[in-house]
Amino acid sequence: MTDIANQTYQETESQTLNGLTPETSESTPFSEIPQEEISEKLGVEGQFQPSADVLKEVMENASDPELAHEFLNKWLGLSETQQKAMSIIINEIELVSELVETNVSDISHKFQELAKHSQNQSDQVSTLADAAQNVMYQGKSMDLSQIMNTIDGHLSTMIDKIVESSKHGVEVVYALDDVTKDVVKVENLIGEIEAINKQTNMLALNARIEAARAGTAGDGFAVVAHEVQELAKTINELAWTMREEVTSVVNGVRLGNTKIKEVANVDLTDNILVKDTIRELMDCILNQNDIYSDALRSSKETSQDITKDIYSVITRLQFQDRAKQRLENIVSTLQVMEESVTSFSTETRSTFETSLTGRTNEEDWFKAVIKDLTLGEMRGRFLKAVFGEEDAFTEETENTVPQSSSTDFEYDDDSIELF
Amino acid sequence: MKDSVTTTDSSLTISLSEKLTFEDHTNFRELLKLINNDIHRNCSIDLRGLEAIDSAGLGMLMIAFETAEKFGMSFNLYKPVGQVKRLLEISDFEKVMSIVS
Repeated sequence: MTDIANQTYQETESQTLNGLTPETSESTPFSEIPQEEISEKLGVEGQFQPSADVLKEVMENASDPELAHEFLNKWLGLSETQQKAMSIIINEIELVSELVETNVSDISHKFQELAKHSQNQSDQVSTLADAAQNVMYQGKSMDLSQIMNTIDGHLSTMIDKIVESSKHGVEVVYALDDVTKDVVKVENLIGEIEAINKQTNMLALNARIEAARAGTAGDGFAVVAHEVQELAKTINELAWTMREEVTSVVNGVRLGNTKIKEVANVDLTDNILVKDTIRELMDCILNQNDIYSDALRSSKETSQDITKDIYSVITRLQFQDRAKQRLENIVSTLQVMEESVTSFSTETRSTFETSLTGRTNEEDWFKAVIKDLTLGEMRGRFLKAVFGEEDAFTEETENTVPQSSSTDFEYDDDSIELF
Repeated sequence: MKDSVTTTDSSLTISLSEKLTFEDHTNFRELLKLINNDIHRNCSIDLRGLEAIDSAGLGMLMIAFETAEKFGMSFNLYKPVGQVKRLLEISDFEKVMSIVS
């Protein structure tokens, strides 16, 4: 019966250790076989399944105690392996719990820093938005509309002065035109004086001629005529002097009139229209400033939303507390199960101490358990817990544990898989 | 500048056309003489036909207004258009005198 059992066990090993038919195993390396195919061959979720042939043989030979002891021996071997597996699972769960707790704490801390930076950014954007609306001028804060009104006021004053200057320019031209006309009148009057003086001089000359004809009787008249002639000469010199002075005045007035006309003729409408240009430019600046302000306000709101979301994420990260409690509960349950299995195993060994010899470890079952473990570090801990030494079984499990392709994940020196 | 003058018992209307610049100051002075009397109570400068004006022209309109004001006449600028209207607006003439749009 032992041979039959061993034979059956060998069949099981052949099917479950490699998980493949011999033809497939020879033609295809284990690492290249798809996971689905391995799982299918191993059974549901890849777990070890006791051979139906063994159970069938036990049932058919229920009266054979040797066969029953052998089968019970196998159950005990499986039980001890399961104890070790449960123990390492408990350790793994505690490791996972610690890993999650440490990393969630780090993530939460990082998110708090992120929220603080986001809040700072929001404050800075808010400051920037305020600064975009105001300008410091002579120690006073002025918004752009005030600046625009101030510039507009200065331009209006300047234009008023331009119009006023233009008006005065025309008025001066009119005045100088009048002066020029008046000076011409004076020149005409001087001409009239000169004409009269010329006649006076002629009359005095005629009087002197007539006085000479009258002889001694005309001596007195000759003296008067001479004086008149001298007087006319003096008047003539005075008229000449006046003409020179008036001519000088006329030249000055005409020159002034010409100059003021040149000044008044300068068209300042472009300078007036500058107000329009500056107003349009200021409108452009205000519009652009409004766009910037809107963008900054939007950015501020976005930063505030980000801050809010980050705090929401920090709150959500508190799931770790609940997860830890659940894992602790699972560990407690597994510990009870482990203790139950240990107790049952101890009791069975004490009851059948003499009959149960040659117990074997259920290596096949364990190989099936670790088959799907993709983390090398975790797989090593399982092997060490069951077989004592990690390296003792590593080479063998290299062929039994599926290796994912390098494109799925990679190992670094610290056995941390980077996805 | 071209001008035409229309009068009624109480009103004097001076219509200007083309351009009013410094070159027109002599002709404009003749028009000022029409305002410079006690015959009319109202004076209107019709600017509908005036296409352009320079800063001296603005000064002459201001002199016309002050002359009318001096003689107690009501005064207005009638329907300026285009560049003339824009310059009168920028120069805030409506704050000094009546402008009929």
